[in-house]
Amino acid sequence: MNKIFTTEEEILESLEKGREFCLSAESNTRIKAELSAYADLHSIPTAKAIRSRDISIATLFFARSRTYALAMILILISASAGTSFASEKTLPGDFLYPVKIRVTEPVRTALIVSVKEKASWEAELAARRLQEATELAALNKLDSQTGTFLTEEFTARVNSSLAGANTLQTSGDTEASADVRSGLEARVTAHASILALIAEHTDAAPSSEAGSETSAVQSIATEASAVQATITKERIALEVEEVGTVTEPTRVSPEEVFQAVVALTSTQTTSVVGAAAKKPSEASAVANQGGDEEGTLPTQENAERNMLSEDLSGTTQVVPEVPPSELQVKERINTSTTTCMKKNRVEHSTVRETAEKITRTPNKREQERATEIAGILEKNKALIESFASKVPILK
Amino acid sequence: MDQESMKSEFLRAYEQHADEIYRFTYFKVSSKERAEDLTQEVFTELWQELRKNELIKNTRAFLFTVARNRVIDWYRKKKSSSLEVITESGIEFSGDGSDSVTQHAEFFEALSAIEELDDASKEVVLLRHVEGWSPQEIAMFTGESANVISVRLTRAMKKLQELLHVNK
Repeated sequence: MNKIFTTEEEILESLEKGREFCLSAESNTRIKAELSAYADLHSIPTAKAIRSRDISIATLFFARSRTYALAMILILISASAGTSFASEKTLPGDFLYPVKIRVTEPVRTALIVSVKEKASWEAELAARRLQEATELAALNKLDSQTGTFLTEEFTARVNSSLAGANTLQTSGDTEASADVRSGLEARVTAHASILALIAEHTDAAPSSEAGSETSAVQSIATEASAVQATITKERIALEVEEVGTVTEPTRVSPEEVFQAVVALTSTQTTSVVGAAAKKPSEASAVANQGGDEEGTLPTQENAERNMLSEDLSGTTQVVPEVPPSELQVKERINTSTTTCMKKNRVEHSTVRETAEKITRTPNKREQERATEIAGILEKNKALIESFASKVPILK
Repeated sequence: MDQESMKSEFLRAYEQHADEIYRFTYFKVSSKERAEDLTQEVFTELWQELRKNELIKNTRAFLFTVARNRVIDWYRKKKSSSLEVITESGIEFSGDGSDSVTQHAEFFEALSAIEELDDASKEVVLLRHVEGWSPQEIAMFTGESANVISVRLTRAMKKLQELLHVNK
């Protein structure tokens, strides 16, 4: 079949026919299938990791898919094992803080399935923001911008925690809802008091350049106490509605414990104790609104409370006219805190005993709340002390 | 772009360009199997590039460049490989006269003459007259000037006519 080409056109024509020379249908199908499988096997590296570059500096480190995956695994492991990831203890302004805020915590939030646990975790996050504010304030590093950020984050977390509690309530799980509220209240209460202490002292500090810091601490402290007041009020209202009895918010008195600490570190002892004394009356005012059940409270407890306030006034009286030395203050905080903690524990057991006589759950929560608050105070003891020693109370 | 849309775009590119890449590699390596393997490799490389989120302005140019490099790599490997492989590939080439060859008898007639040309001329003739590229496009692809390509093309065609005993 040797065809003789006669013209150039014929050559060109035959060459053009070469365009019909194609992959055979079966090869075409096979290659296509193999390429499709290849594309699935070597899929696009987590597109999100690349896209979210602008979200924070921290995510830049995760631009490579493997690193990202590895980091995720590490976070998961650290979260599940309960060990703290490097970023866990960071403060705003730290290098790894964005990791904590944008990666570690959201990942944990995303991993929690149950509404109750999620709401509790949100409460924990709210507490963390206040803890950070406290630590920054103690270091005198809390500027107004960070303060605003932390306040916003705090209120956002509180709101989602409360939203979770509401969801639980509407779904009929009032028990879980009350647990969440109680935990949140305890955390906010403890942190609000610490912040109040610091705000008070930065206010007292006559440092001129600390103007902005002072206002930042004060605003976040105000916000925290406002939130705390709201939560407490809500809880009391709910208890009134459901149980018909009111467990007084100050019956177990971790606040008083703390204010005893405050009292010792402050020159304005009377006002603080005054405030502490005001609290129960406020609470009973609320209680009166919702149907007075004061009379059902065991007298034993009233006696205990009186004992504690005696103790408080006793320590108040000990504060001499002459300002104490730094060492003395420290010593007193130590002894006062430990004795008050002890006293608190004693009261816990009594509360439990009496609680079983009336209604079990609210008192159990009271106790848990007290433990939580005591724990947070204990955790911050060193900070409060160091802060107290820095404060010019000897002026 | 997510995996699915990227993949469908990739497979669309395959459907569009697979045949011309296959032809291009086939003309260079003269073996269907080898050309199929090379075609697959070329598209694998395209996927890798898409995956890296690299912007490919001209998919066709990219594919041809990769194909060209792959063929060069293959020749290098072939040179260093055993005699057995070379003869094997020779057998494959001569034994290639199956269905597709008889279907495109005239083309293969011309092709056997083209085989006599040097590689550069062969490439120019194929791209110009089979694939229908303009001399400018070929110049862009090979990185030479359009003039050089035109001259080479004219000479190659003259040589081809001589080889095929075209009566003037």
